[in-house]
Amino acid sequence: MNLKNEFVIAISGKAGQGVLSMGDFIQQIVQNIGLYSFVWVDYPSLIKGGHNVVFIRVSNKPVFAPVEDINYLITLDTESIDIHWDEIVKKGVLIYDIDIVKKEISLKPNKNQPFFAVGVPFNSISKNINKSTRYANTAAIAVLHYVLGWELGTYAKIIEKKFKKKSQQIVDDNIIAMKQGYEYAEDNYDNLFTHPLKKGDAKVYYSIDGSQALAFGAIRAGVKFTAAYPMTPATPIFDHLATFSDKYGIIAKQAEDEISAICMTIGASYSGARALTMSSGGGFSLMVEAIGLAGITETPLVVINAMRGGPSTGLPTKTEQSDLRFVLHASQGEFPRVVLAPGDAVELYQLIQEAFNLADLYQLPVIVLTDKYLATSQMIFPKDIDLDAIDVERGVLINNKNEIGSADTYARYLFTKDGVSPRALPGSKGITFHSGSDEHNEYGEICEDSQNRVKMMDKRMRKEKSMLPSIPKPKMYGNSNADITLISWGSTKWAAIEATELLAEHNILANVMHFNYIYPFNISKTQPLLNKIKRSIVLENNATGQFAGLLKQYFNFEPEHSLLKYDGHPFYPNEIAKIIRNKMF
Amino acid sequence: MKSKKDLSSHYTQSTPNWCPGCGNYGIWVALKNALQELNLPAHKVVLVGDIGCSGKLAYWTDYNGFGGLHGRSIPIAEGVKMANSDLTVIVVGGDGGLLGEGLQHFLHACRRNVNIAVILHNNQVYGLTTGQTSPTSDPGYKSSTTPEGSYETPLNPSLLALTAQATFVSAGFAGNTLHLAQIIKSAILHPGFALVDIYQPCVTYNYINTYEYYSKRIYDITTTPYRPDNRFRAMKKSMEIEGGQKFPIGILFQDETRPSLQSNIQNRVLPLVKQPIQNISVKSLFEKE
Repeated sequence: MNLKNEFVIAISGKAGQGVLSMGDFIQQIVQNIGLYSFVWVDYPSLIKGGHNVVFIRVSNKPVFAPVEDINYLITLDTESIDIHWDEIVKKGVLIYDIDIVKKEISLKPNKNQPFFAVGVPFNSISKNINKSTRYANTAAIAVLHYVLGWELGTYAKIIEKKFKKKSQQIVDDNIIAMKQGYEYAEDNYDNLFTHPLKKGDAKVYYSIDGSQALAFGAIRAGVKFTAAYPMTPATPIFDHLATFSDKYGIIAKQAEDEISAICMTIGASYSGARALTMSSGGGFSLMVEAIGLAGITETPLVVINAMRGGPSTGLPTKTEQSDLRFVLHASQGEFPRVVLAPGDAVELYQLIQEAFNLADLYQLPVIVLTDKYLATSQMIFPKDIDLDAIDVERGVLINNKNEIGSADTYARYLFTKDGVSPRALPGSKGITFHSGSDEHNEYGEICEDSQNRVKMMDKRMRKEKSMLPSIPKPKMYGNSNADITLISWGSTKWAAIEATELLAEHNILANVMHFNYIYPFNISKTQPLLNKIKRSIVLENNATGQFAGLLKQYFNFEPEHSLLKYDGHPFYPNEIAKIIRNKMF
Repeated sequence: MKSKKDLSSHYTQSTPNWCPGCGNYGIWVALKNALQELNLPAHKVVLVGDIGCSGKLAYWTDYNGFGGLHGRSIPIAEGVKMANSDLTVIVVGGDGGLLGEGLQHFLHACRRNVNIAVILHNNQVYGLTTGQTSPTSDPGYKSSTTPEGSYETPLNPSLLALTAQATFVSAGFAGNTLHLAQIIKSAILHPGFALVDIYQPCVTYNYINTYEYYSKRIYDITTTPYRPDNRFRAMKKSMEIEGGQKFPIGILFQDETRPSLQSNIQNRVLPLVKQPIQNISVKSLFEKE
């Protein structure tokens, strides 16, 4: 990593010490001085204490993936120093509080300690201001400014903006803490550090996390009802919808369990509202029976599964992509469904809208897969992306009896060529109809007749074919004549793309094939792309190569290598590049 | 109302296929009479059926019907109602679905005070799966799953609803359709969650709790000085059934003062299905405060 182009700042401490809010401040500063940022977090499943860390990758070009090394680390407790000791790069800088850390640390790098260590009494500075430690973190961020050679002006402005609502006193105290932290570093550590990247000319961008991207996309798509039961890491999506529920006329209902959440969602969708539910794998497990209810009643349904380490309670706050096979087959019986797996903030925002459209157009459940890593990472969302690019498509809706000739003959499940039956909503003037979880005839009446059964199954399953024009092929990134193709799906997208850039430095020509429409596959459009691949490696955050198995099943495509990671962490580009260089050359 | 559908080409049941003499017929008639008397346009009524003999009722009227999942009819109905408060939403289900598989939904719907009416076909048996013990079966009830007789004490639906803060709790009898229709009418009109717990004979599997059994033990509470305005008194009244000797029917409790979920939501959010959803702008959400 060339410090002139980019570096990583990490803030580490106990949960409840303000790690995340410091990360937020630093991200905003980075953005304001014209640099790009990518922020990701690592935290345990508890409320206070435990080890929390936020990473901010700072760059003069857009970056979308996490990296392993830390260049600048601010620690709020002693434990963090031990945990991250080996991750701080040579000549990196550790910033710590000499009031609390009683460890032998030397200022300059030496044989046992490859990095600088800057000790500043953050807590004392804060206590001198208002007898509490509440401004210690402000002083710490100011010291980071000194080490990086950043001017304090931007930080001061953000403090002002952020705390003005609380009180002028808080603003003033923060500014004093900021100045004193900076001055302490200046007085004690003069002329030690070079200043790699002080400002940039980044194109304007939004910085939003994956949960926001999904929530904003859902709101744009006209979601009017959402119900959920709290489960990490899906809850923030629901929280965002609840926050904006009044502004956008949404009912956000916390249900008594995930079964209720999905059933309420199906009920609301049956009534005609665009409706969404979300959970992680455990909650999704409870929703499974109702996915089939949406399938057989042909009720549009959008479900987000934000995956985490499984099975069972597993790794509640760590990332994994291990629910793919599960969501593909969830619920008894056979019915058409769509599975999408967006790869970054823009894809999350756009594909959740496509999910609502597909659900309405084809009257079926659509499952959007994301994971802890993507849902909680704060990503670049370029401002030149057209936020209004995707229009709402509701499919064939009947609003009153005049549209069907005679209400007496309205068949909710009319046999049609494309399998999609014109849909009436309850309350449509003059029309009444039946639908339900039993197999039924065209009129929705319970029917166990064999001929009808086959015709009705075929009608439903036809939708998988008739939707294919709406299903794009995977996207290719990089040179089309590459020697190696990295195949990614969902959140592994950018680690793969960046790995190809690292491989290029070693004269290895690689490209990326990224799948975000997972099921159904558009086989005729995809097969030619797979046939062109010379050598391949599939990247997945799971232990069994679930996606690689699908490639074999649907395309008879056998990747040369499968790179599987299931330690709870996302892929890092250099890790991928290294393995490819070692294993494939 | 729809009636002339040509269904002759399908092996289908557009009319009930319950056993002759089933208590469901009485409930079916009472519900249809109640709806007729209320003169609600058919397209504005949705019956959400649970799974079991009772739930099939949702397919067998000329109103809208949605057949749900076992135990899950209540949350489905809550979703239907929350999205379109103009609809009259009625749950039809049995003691197995509503008090066994889906008890949590029943309790939470009570305290949520969502404006739906729940018609509980309480026949104390799992009929459609051939007569197994249900959450309301009498102690000692023998079935294929409890050949030695059930050791468990039955749940008391009305008492449960009262403890869970339901605002309308009533009981009726499948053998008294005129009375039952009036109770159902009141339940539908009640501005909040309403329970109608119905004593329903199962002529095929339950030889104890028969029409005759109930006819001897049931009494109309309006023939007594009872007033349904006190929750504690209602609890005491609901417990009369626990001796197996007296079964009060009528409205045990009604509180119209507590706001329903709908009235709380309506102050904040326009009816969901009436909101236009084309071209919603989210730009302001992207701009950080």
